[in-house]
Amino acid sequence: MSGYALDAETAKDRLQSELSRARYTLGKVLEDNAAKIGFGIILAFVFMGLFGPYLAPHHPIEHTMRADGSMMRLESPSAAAPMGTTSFGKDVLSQFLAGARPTLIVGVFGGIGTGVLGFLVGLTSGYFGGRVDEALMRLTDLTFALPFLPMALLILSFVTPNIWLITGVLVIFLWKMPARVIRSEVMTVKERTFVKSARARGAGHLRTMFLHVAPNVLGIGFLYTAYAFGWSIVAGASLAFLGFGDPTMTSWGRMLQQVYRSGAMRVAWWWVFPPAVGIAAVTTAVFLVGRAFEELVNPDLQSEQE
Amino acid sequence: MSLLEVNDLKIKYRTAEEDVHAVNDVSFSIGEQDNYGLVGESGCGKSTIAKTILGMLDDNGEIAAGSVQFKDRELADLSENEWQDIRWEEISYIPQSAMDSLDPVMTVGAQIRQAIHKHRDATKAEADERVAEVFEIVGLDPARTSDYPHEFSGGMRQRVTIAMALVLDPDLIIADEPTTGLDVIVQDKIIDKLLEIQDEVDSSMLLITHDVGVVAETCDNVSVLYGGKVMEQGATYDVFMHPTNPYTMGLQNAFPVVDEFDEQAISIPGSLPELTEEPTGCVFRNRCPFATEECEDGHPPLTASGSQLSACYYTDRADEMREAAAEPETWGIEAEDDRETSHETGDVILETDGLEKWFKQTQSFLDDMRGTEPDYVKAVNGVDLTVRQGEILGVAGESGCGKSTLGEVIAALQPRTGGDIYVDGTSVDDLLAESTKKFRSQVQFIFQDPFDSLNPRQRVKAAVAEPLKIQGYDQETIDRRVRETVSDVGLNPPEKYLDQLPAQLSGGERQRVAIAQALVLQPKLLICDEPASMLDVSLKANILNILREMADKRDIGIIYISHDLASLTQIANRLAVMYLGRVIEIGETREVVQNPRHPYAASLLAASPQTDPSVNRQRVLLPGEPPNPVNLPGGCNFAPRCPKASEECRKDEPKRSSFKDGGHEAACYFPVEDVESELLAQYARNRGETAVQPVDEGSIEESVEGE
Repeated sequence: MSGYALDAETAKDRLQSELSRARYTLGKVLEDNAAKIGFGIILAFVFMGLFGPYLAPHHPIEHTMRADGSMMRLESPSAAAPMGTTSFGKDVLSQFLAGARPTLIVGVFGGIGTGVLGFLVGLTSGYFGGRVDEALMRLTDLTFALPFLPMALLILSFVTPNIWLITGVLVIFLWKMPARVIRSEVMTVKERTFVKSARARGAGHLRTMFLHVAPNVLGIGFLYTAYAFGWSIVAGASLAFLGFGDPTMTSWGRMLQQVYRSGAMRVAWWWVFPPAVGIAAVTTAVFLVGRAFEELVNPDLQSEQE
Repeated sequence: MSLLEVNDLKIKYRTAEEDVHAVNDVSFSIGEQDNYGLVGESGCGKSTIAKTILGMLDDNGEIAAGSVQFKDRELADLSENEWQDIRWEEISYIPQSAMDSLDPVMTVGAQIRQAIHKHRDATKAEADERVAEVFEIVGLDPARTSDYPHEFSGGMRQRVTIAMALVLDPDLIIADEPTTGLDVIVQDKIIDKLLEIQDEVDSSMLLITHDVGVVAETCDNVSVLYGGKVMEQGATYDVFMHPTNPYTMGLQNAFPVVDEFDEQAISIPGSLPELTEEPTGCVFRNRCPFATEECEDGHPPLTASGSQLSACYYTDRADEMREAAAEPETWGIEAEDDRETSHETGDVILETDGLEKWFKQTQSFLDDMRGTEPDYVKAVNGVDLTVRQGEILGVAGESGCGKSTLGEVIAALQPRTGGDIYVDGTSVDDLLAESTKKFRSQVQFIFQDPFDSLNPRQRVKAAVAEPLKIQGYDQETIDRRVRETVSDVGLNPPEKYLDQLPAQLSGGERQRVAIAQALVLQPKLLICDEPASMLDVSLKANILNILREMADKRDIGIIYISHDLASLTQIANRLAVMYLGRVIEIGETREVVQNPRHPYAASLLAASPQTDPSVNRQRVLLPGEPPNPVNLPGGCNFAPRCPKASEECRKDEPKRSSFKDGGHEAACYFPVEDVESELLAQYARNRGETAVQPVDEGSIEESVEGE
């Protein structure tokens, strides 16, 4: 097949222009005030995910808070424990800070995995059409038909859940959304003259697909990756809440599960709020940024392409 | 008293960055029963003026100054309610694209009735009666008022919109490019109808078009617009017989005419001025070969020159300028000497033998199971062509005749159904089997739409370099060839363009980049599918000249596919005319144009409008429409519409060699000798008798596209 190889030169060139485009787009997105707030929250969250465990004053699980020789059980915020303690006498602040990391891992890798897998499936399916499309789209129908939680629980009951496995399960259930949207977008783009023109100039399928079609649907791809980041966090937290989280790590979802199990859900507001607000803030932030980005990408994809 | 008076109208559009001054101090007036033409290229403000007169200016547009008076009423200050009373009742509108200006889920009759009910207190029966009346006026069958738009062909839909515009007997009809996008024969019939109707009802018409030929043939008075300014104004005859403004001269010279052979079309160099500021000098000065320093000082006022008005400081030198404007050198174009002799052609580069492309019609699952033979649309049906080195073969025909499919099949962009293609003596199958890459380096394609044929994310350099990269050239060769080719297609200096994105280029520049992409591999054969049809006249000529030069200098064989006969005759050595998948006439361009032998080719050629207002052309009122390509009649495809058809024509299909005179062949048993008496007079005579034949064009398009 001719023109199959993507030479390094072209690839480098392309990456550079994509980078400058990304900078430009980010600038545009941040003109929106809601997006600015969202972006700030995401930055704070990423910072917590990276450095939270080092900032935490105590070890979230091993250290038990004590005052006057007795364990601090379910105590409301005080100078010693600014966010109060759990029913096992653990520091909520430490748990909250340490819990950001698994949440970030699930969000980032779940989001990227979903975005990449969905993008590739959508691109292949939309570009080739015919039988390939038929096969891939029936597969998406299948994942649409299977209910997420029961299936995920079923899978996770057989194996010991760890964070990477959970991320994988999330990707398996979430890729269908971007795949569908990217596919329809690719089908419009591939009918445009420049795609036909590239074929007439001798470009092979891979080259046409990745150099001519893909850049023109990349915006939507990123948008769905951003959304998938939010979905993954919510879904990961739901699994943890149901007791299927990674047992070796403290995550925000797991904190909620523990407070629920301890029966203190209605009493210990200092225990419930940090993880709940954290999850809500991060997902809301992602959607705020995503919405501003979507305005840029969606209806007038053409007019904004400079 | 004049019906409509536009005085010193200024319109600007607000955009995010800066204001665009679309119309600057335009004045004109239309009298009762007057045919007024506004002619100009895209971006000259002609549609903006039409929208203003209808009170339908876009939200970001505003009338900055001036007045529009209709029957002594100021239109600019009307409220939306008052507008509603005037629209259609007094001013109606024929939109450009009849294809989507009708509501697809409403019968055409109901759509026309809406206008009646809005303005008149009429019962449904009365309204129906009126609809039937206007249908008859525009030459449609009144029984079809309860049909839906998709049941009509393009030309008939345009008639429906005309009927709609007529229904309330308005005083002024604004027709915005009413025939753009229609085939010439249909265009001729529509224009004939418009003029005839105008004689009957006493409306005035404001015709807006870029087509100098259409204006010259239909309008009494005309304004030539450029950059939001009136350049020349007066009686059509005077303006186009003795233009006094350099822009009018340039426009007229750039406009190709069918029977001017080998005359190099003269393009106007440069591009439209940015209208972000009010013009401080003559708007045309940076493209005008006669511009002097004086032209910098404000746009020249319209002054009387001869019997018309012209906005130029040098109207007194008009005769001199007219003479100079006819020379390409004046416009900075290198003249090609002895073009005729340079048309030596070399070896055969392409040969097709009985080439066929049939599209299968979808049929029901049951029929599929029963093994019923499906219907086919024979888009290309047994075409034999040869192209030599350095030769341009023109392929002409109306939409749906299979000419584009032919091009794509030859370029192997679509698989063929039957027949053989040989490039340089080797079968295309062998070439493709050996390597697709090699085939692509020999055969290249240029597409119609310059606005969509470049990847919006690729800079010019990357776009032109891509074919070379695919072929695996080294970086140094690539850089050199890209630079050379970009400069060859007239993008000079190349440095200025190499790092630009398509969005930063004008339509003409984009098409040149597309041509550079095709030429950079130095192919042997180039197939161009309407490469200039979406460009303005002044740019079109430029593209044609580049292609002609490439054929002459690089010995490339070119197939030029177009519905525009005038540009074909200018550049093609030989001309092939297609009708329903077959080449019905082929020969030296001059031979075919001057002595067309096939009745269809003759009609097609006679239907091209003339820019010379002194020529009185007989209109081509060819009856009917092309038959449905799914069930073609037996015998000659053209027989059902041909005034000369006999029993023999209906029984046996004539071979292309039925008429043969040297290289000139026509598929007709009774070749035409005299176009006027044998065809045109016949058409005019038969006109009353021929019933309108319903043709389901919608299904044709679907079947062609949906393979």
